[in-house]
Amino acid sequence: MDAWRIAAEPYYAPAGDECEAFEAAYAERLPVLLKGPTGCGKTRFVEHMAWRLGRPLVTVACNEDLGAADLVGRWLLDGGGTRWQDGPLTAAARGGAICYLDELIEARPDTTVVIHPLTDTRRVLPIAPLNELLHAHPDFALVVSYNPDVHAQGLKPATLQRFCALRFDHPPAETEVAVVAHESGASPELASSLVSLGVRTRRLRQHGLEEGASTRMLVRAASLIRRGIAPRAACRMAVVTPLTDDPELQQALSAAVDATF
Amino acid sequence: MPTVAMLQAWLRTLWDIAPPLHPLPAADTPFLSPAGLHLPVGHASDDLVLAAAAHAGAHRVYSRPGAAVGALRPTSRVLAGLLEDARIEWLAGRELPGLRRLWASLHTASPADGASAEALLRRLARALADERYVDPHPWVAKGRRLMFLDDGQQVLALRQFDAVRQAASLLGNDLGQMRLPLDARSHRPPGGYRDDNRWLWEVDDPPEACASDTAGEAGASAPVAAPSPAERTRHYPEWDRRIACHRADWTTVVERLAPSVAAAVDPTAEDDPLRRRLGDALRHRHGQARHRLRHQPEGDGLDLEALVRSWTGREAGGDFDPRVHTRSDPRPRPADVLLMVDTSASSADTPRPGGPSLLQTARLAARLCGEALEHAGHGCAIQAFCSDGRAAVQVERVKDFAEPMDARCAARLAGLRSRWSTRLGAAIRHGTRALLERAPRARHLVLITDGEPHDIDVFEPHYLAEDARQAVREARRCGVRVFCFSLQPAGGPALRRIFGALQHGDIGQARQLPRALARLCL
Repeated sequence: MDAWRIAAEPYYAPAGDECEAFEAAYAERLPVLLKGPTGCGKTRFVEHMAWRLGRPLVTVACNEDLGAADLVGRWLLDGGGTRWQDGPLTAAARGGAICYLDELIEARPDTTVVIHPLTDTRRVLPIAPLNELLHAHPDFALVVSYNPDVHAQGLKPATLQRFCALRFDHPPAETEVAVVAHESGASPELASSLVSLGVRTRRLRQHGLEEGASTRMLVRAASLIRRGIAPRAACRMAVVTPLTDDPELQQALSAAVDATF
Repeated sequence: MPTVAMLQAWLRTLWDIAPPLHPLPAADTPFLSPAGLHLPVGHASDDLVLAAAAHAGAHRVYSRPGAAVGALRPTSRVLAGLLEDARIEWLAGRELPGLRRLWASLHTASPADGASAEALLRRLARALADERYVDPHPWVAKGRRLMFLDDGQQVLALRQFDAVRQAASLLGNDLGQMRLPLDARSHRPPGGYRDDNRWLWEVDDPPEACASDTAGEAGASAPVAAPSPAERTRHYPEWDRRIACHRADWTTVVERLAPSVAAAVDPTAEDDPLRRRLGDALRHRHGQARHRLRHQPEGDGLDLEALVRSWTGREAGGDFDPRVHTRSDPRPRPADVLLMVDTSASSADTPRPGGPSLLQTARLAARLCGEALEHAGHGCAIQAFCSDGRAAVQVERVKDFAEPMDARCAARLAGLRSRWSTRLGAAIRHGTRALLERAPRARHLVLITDGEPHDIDVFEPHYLAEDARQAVREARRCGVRVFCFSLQPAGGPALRRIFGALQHGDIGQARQLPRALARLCL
């Protein structure tokens, strides 16, 4: 489990009292659900909290092909026969880590059922292929995130009701400027131009773009600029080109970059 | 080359505005109107089009339309427009320095142009747009001093339009005293990208372009001629629960094309988030949409049969066949969906006072679902039904599978009227038949209705509901999955009995649509 420990403090600028709220939930071992758009700091928050609480952190980025077996574990073939391999959730539950399932809703429905017994007072993980009932380590905690804006169906009520939830959003402009400046070492002026660009791209959310530029993208643009790339080129590389493949939107975003710098 | 869509997205990023954009014929001066921004898209240089769009957008953000002309003379009016242009560009440039650079690059006037009124106006425009431009003319210098409090042009003096008017009067008087006449009629705004500023003033003479616009709208609002009504009559059995058996050819369904009415449907921007969520509902497929592939070289589970085969093969001295896994197949499988809208008299009800009627909600639901399904690559048809006794069940075709979801379908949707009763069973049988006539692939029938069935010639309470239940059962037996989107929560229990709890979703409010659509598991 030590490989999963976080060595240095991950930078996180709290927007409210979410750190205290999370600590209280962890003290009670309550599972926590983080809601919010992509790149607004959910993952960084979990890393920060894992570091603060001194727990190892096992992160699983869920995708639509991720099934229960990917979380729990599976039999693998090797030279002589089959061998059991713990999945990340099982490993975290055995070793007392915080298990973070990022974008849980992307995963197949059977995964949500697997986590149910871990999220109530039972705190067990039935591993059917091994015929084992794993009792979670006392330090184990489960954190999941999902983006309600992108997923129409939402999680099932049976799943949602097992969690305490914290709502995240893009930080207010001043906080975001501070984050961009801190993470990239950029000047406050540059950071503020980049954040205003970010805000502009987010206006295209629901109008062609799935999501506007995340804070992460802005930090990367700032880092490229610090490396000597011209601001406009850096923004094209870190923000415009990754955001969309639509030629007209690319052009519009490019023109927005030109207007901003 | 900037396109209308690109400019629209750009203006949204700049100021979060979404005015309609209209391309202009070549060489026309851009202008603003209540209908939107009229820009030289398609035949001017990229910079010019961008500058024109940003300038017109800045007017929308920072200027107020329809100022009273009052005692302002034509020359001063032109000057007020010029100063207002400079004011909004300065305000926009404070936030977006790139725009100021773009606009300044298009002003090319210089002292070499001479000192005619037109030339001075161009020189003043450049002086106000570009603080590094040097112009010795005292009138231009005065314009600069009136506009800005400092030499670096960092502090704006003319904060309000009233101040702009006063400054324009002063500069206009100076032009008069210099005996420099300006022909306000033939004046073209400097820079080549600015609009004619007609929008700033209250209407005195209706411009031609506006007149042609309204003519175009009037043309569109005239009823679209309905194509010849191709009628088709079909007979269906009906289930009589008292004798527990079908009555053969009991109902008569008359199918025809729905009449069109000019759709007053605006391309409602506020539906956009909903459209996106509908798209997601269809994209994030779960459950039955996936199927399991066996005998795969890689995957997330072991295919035990294949494993045993491979093992025995190796023990027998052959090679180990590595295709021993199972994998779920996320490929989309296109389906056919037939939406049937209940237009019985009760659909004219408005559940909330002042809110939309049930039929309006149903229309919107059908349109949005139709678009989303089509966009996701599924086949979609829309029909409406109502009944006037068993011999006259009416089905109106709004959209056939082969048709795109376009203005014609919108016009037919708008043409649906609330009347008569709901004979669900006949509608379900008719819809099932229409689906079975299509090529064999996943088939879904969705009834959009406001309540339980009733008809004027049936007096026994559960007769029609039982018939509908039987029709649903028959359809499922033929491989057609039947769902119900209910417009009224109160209609729920009866509809749940007919369709089953999982095949039933409330859509009384449009935001519930994505969840209901996700239930189809396409």
